[in-house]
Amino acid sequence: MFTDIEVQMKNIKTIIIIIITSILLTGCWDSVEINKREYIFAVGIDKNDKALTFTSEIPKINEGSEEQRLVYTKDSENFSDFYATSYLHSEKAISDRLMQVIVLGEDVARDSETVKRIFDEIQRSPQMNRRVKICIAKGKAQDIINTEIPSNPIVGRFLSEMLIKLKRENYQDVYTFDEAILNLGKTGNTMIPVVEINEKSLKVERAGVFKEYELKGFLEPDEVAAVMVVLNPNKAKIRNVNIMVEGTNVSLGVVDIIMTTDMYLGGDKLTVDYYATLNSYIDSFIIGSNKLEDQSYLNKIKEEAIKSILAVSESTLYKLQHVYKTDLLKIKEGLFKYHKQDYEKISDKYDEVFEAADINIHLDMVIKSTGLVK
Amino acid sequence: MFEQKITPYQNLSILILVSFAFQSILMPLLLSEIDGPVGWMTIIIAAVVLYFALKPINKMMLKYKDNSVLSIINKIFPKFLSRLTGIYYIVMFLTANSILMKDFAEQIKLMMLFRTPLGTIIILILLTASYATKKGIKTIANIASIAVLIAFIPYLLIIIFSTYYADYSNVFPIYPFDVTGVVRSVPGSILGFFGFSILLFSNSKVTVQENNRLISRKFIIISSILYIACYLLIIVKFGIKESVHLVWPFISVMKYVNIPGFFFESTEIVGLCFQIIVTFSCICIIAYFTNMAMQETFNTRENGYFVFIQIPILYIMAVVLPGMYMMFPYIQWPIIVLSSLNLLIPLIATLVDAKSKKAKSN
Repeated sequence: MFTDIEVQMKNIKTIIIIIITSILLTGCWDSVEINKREYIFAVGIDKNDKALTFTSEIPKINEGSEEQRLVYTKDSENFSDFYATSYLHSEKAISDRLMQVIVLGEDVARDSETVKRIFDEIQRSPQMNRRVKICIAKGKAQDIINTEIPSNPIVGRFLSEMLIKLKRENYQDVYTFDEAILNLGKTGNTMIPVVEINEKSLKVERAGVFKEYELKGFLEPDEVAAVMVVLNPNKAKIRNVNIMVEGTNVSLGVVDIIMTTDMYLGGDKLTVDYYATLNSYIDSFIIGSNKLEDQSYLNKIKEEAIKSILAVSESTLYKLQHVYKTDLLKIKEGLFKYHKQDYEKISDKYDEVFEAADINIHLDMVIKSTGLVK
Repeated sequence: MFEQKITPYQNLSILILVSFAFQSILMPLLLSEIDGPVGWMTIIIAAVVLYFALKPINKMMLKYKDNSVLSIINKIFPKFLSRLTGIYYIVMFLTANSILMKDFAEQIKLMMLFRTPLGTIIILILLTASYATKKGIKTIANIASIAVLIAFIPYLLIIIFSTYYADYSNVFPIYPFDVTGVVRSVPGSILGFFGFSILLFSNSKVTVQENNRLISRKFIIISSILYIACYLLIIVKFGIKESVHLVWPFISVMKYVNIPGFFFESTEIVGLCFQIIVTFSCICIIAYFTNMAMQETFNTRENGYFVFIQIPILYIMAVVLPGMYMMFPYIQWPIIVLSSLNLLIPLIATLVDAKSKKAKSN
């Protein structure tokens, strides 16, 4: 059908087309090499008189200098403005694809309009990963980013790993921007970790209470732990419970928690009962005493421990209901998912219903073990 | 082009791939039309409707072996009506293909080729897909069956890794559910099973056509399971309130892929690479069946060269059409019309054929 020459010509044409196509279709015509890029690891956002102050941390890659990072501070309206300005102030191309942490200054977090603008920009961006970690700075975010940590000079990496650890160990509920915005979208409330300077390092102990994109206040570490017990009892961590029983310090560790929840919505009256059983071990007592063999003494330990935990829980509940008026316990979500018909009747006045709600915690403790000695 | 046949498995691969592409495009519609996370009910209703519609259609196609629905309609309807039906299928396939290309090109531009003009991306996709289309159904079927194994399945597996820290209670509340919303979104779900329109043509190209009924049922079942699984995945990941705002739910889901030990930051790029293969296969498939529709409407002996007619039409339509997310507020009635016609045309054909058979036997 075709002669040899025609077949050869056809093959040559095909090969030429393939070569030209493979060169032209690579899509790399606008590529920028990695050594010509600066990757922002952490960004701190504060308010100033006119706009926002962005403090960015950029690790130095393969440059052989002692400095391990660069810190830039610029006043900008938003992220896009910040990138555009930074582009003109550096010989390299700024990229936010590897951003690990966004730190919101306290002044920014207390302004709901600014938070909404920032969150909107982050969620619209196809480059910024929604899994970027987020936290609130106690004070200025710039101070957090500028902190020199001897053991880990890159603050973005330090905070990122810290927040991953806290989430994994269930010390915090939210650690990424995505979780924060999902919670705010679902219930209007969320709890975001708070980062503070701690001598020559940073610490994340407290959490910020967010309601309708505005920081209302802070929860102390015990209060955060109490909220986490309610949110995720299976994985929650209660710090050592230290109590005094008959003049002796006893320390208990809670190893696991079994919790059931009862929600009842009768008209405008919401009643929520949490029934929790805390299985615990005795972590420390005192040498020379064999009181732990006495059941009545163990019962006293249980009573004191329950009193101690209940005190923290009730003060946390009071704070959430009456001071911040913010449902961080996801009761609203539970009502919506499992009692939708009743919830729809009060959905527009849920805040009042929550404030007046009767929320009770019923604790029981079981001392499973006294450790390796009696 | 020349007479080519495909295997039942290749047919099934074609139907599943094409359906998946349109299900992912129409997913935002399903998420936003219903007040609550009960879109899976809509999918089940759509699947049941199509499942029962397939029986008479397959029976008719088996009777007229090696004939697509269009050529059967040419035989049993008057010429004017059959031409009109042919033109309907041509326009429908061209529109569907251009929407698919436009949507995909926008995703590529947003996630990968930020500074490349959209028209350039569209023409490159078009030229590449047209080259495969011209080769015929056998080549396309081979591509589809391989794409299912090397791209589609890994794509789904990767998406599963995004469920780390997902909240499975987001599938509630189930009752009370939005009945109006569920019913209103059924046409969109039916259209999501785009393979139903394709099988009206592809079944005539299968080697063993006696298996077509089984293959069609398998297609509906597998496709609806995938559709429901993808819907639920988006719901458990984002919740219904947030997922309503998503423009491309699958890309957003892929941003959360968290494979232990994986060092990629932009995991959506990995998913997009698989999606490229899936989408290219779908574009080839739809372009081929547009060729076939043109061949049967205009009674030509070959259909390969019709792809050259399609290229400029598809390019212009893809460039001119707005993005899918901008069309969502206006496509409710077109979707109802399209899905009704897609369902009714073959059913009316079976009815007319059954009546004419009765009349002949009388």
